[in-house]
Amino acid sequence: MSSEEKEPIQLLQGTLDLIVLRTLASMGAQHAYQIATRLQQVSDRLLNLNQGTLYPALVRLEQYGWIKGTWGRTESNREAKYYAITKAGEKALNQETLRWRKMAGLVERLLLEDFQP
Amino acid sequence: MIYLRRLLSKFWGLFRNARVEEELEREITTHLALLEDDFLRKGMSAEEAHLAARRAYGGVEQAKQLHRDERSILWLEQLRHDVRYAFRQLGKSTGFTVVVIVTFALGIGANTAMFTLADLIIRRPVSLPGLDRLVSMEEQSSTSQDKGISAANYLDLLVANHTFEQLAVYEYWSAGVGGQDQPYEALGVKVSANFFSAVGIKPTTGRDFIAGDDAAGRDREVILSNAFWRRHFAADPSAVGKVVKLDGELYTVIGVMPPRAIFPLGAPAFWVPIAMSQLMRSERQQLSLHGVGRLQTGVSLEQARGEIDGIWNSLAKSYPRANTDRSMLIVGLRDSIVLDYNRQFALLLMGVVGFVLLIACTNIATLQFARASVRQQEIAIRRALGASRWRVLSQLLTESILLSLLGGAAGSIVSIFSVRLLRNTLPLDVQWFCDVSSLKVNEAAFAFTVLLAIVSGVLSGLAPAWKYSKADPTQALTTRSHRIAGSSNNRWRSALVTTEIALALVLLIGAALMVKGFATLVTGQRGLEPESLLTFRVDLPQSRTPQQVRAFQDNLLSQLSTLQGARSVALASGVPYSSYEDSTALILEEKVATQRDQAPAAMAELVSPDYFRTMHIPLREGRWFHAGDTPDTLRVAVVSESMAQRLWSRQSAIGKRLKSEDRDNAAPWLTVVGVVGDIQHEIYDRSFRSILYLPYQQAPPHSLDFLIRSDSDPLQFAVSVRRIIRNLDSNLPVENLETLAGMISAQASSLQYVAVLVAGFGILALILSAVGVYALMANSIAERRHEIGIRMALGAQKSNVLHTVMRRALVATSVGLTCGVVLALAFTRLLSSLIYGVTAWDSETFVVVPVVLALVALTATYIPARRTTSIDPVQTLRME
Repeated sequence: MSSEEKEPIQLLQGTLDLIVLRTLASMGAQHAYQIATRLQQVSDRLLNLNQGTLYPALVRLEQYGWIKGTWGRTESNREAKYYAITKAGEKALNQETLRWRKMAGLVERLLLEDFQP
Repeated sequence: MIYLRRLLSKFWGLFRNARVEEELEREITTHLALLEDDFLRKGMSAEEAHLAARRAYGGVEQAKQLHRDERSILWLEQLRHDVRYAFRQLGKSTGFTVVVIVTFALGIGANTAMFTLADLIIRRPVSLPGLDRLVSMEEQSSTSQDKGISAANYLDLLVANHTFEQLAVYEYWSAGVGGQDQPYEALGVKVSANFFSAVGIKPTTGRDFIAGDDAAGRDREVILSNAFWRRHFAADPSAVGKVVKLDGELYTVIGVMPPRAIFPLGAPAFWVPIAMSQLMRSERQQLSLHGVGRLQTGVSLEQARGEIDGIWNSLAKSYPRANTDRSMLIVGLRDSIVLDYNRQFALLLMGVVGFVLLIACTNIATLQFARASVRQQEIAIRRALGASRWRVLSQLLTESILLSLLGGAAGSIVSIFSVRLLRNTLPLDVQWFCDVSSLKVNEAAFAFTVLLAIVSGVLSGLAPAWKYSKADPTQALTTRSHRIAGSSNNRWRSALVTTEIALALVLLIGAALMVKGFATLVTGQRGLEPESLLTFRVDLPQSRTPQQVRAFQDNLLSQLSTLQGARSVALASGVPYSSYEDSTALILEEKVATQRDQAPAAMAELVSPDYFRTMHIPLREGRWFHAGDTPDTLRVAVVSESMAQRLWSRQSAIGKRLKSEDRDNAAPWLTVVGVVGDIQHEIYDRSFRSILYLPYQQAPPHSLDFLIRSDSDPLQFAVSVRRIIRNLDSNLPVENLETLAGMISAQASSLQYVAVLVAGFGILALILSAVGVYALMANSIAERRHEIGIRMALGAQKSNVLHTVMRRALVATSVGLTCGVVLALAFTRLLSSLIYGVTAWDSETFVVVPVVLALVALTATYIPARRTTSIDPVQTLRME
């Protein structure tokens, strides 16, 4: 629902949530700009999503209670909202990661089978 | 679980929207600034960096909207906008808003009031806690119509059962309330000591009866009703401990009941313990008591029936003389009170008032259409700006529902007042099938109001909303559509007015038929001339011997007959229309061919010889009674024509012998000496009853109705009657002193009340439809002002213009009337099959009512139409 249509690689539904959670889990509290930058680095610019689309994902995760935002200051002394993963978020991340692995494995197996004959 | 959490947080967000919005703004600002810094570091100029940051971020407004959609409950958010917008719109057209709200308030208020009444009559006839667990328990005999429970059987069931929490008995008891002034008869109840704890109510002042209070010799205690307490003790709490004189005996007041929630029905004035004498405790024959029990929690009616049936079987074995041929009938207390007849009337009233609301909704829909000219422009603009049709539709419906909810709120106030009015004006006999004191607008009624308001909002708003939302944006913006009012718009409106007229006609015809039918019922028997008959009742204490009773009656009769202007005087065990009931099973000397399960039975009436002459009952065959029929002569009987016909269809009844059926077979044989004309006994009777008249001299009853036929107004005897009786016995109360005509209308009071209500709703419908027609006309003229101006400028005659303008309303009205007559034919057939006394076809009604409605509609059309003639063509053209 919130993924941008013009992108070369479209994000699968729900994957943005997983990526954001993962990022926060490994990097600690981050503000939206940091998260966006991190995504671009990791994806090697393949996933060139509009940074604004990150916001709906953040508000959704916050409403689930998986992340929590607090206002702080950046190094350049600008005010920014820092998001940190919560306990419930970590649990959800584990579950989602498992689910993703299963899913990816399944798709992978199916694709391989398809090409064999 | 997390979805719930999210929903909660979304809901929470509704209240802090402004703060969230402001935070989002700050967050985005920082984000863009950081992006800009980044680009600046990469060597871009300030301007380039600014643009690049924007590009990288994407649309700021879109992101914000996505954020909003994501964080909020979308439809709720839209609803909030719609409601706010609707309030603004309604505020702009105050006149329209007020008319619509008043219409809704009347329609919904009347519906809530009738719902409250129907709810009381059907769902909660008595306000007792845990009503669903209360049952009524009565022995039913296969040989007679008597119902009730005998003391001994009750006591055995009380000991043996395990399914009831409490099992109590009661018995109505009318007692003369003694006092310094005029003694009067009041309705009271004798109850077992556990009665109040069984039904779940208790005195608010003083105490309840305690175990043992109902033992013989300890029963001189009384609990008063609130009304009695106010009347005799001016609501003084120290009344507890004082004494009251009932039927000449002194009773100590031990408690006072609350004003509301009373049992049993009939608004009793006091409760005294049943004094169970040793004799009574072994009585199985007499079914004098009524049983009421509270089931234990978790025990179903079926389980209780099973258990009681088992106990009953063993009781029938132990006491075969009394208990065979009988069974124990256990039904829910509510079901034992709510009769089909009352249910039908309650539903009928709801149906009628529902009709009124339908008419009101149609009316409001017409008004909504009338606003089309103003709204079309606005809606077209909204559509042109990108609002979807669904969005416009839901906006318009929101507006309509908002109106109906406001109307419903006003309607609640209307209903509270109407229910108060109902409570104070309901006829007295209603208290025999529901506890009128607890009639009030309750939570169920409130829920009903809200539901009704929403339904009527949708009903009245759907058609106009559907129609407007279709508005083509381009066309509406380019042409001045209101000048050339769309013909399809007019078709809709005409159709609505047609519907409204048709509905109103059905309602009015139904109302007229009911009013007329009830009026016919109420006039009573042809030739009876009830207005020149005075009647009153005297109850003699049971302690008097038959000789004493006889002497009193003869004495009173002879004194009454000396009254100046009294043409004849008579007495009877129960005059017609006095709610006197009796069913005596009969044994005929020669068996007649009737169905086995229908043993011959008749209503026994003990009468004095002059009864027939006084009541204008004609003699058909044989003779009337005369003074020579005494206990020492042949036992005689006179039968009504219908009874003779039913029992001995072809043969003459004279000389036949019959007797009342009883176990000892000791009743004497009665010889039929006369056949008299039939007489209506109750206004609800659908056929004449079989009446068995017996001479009072041969079996003097203790309770008697006296009759005086007078040449002039019989009420002139009232004072003399009271004086004569006081001289005979100063302790005897005189009851129901009234003309027979008064008795008839008292019995018909519920019917008349229903008729008045229905007539009132009919008038409301008439007014609403007049408003509807008027609105249609006034509006279409306003829309066509310009066109009419041009016509007149071109030389059209005024009468011609008037005709053109009125034509549409006239067509709508006449089509409505035609449809209405057809619908009414079907509807009244249903009505007449449901409600006794209402005929399906009555030529007078079917002519007069449509004519009246047509005249009203015509007037409502003509008044606004006349205004067209004052249109100045020059002025209208100048407006161009």
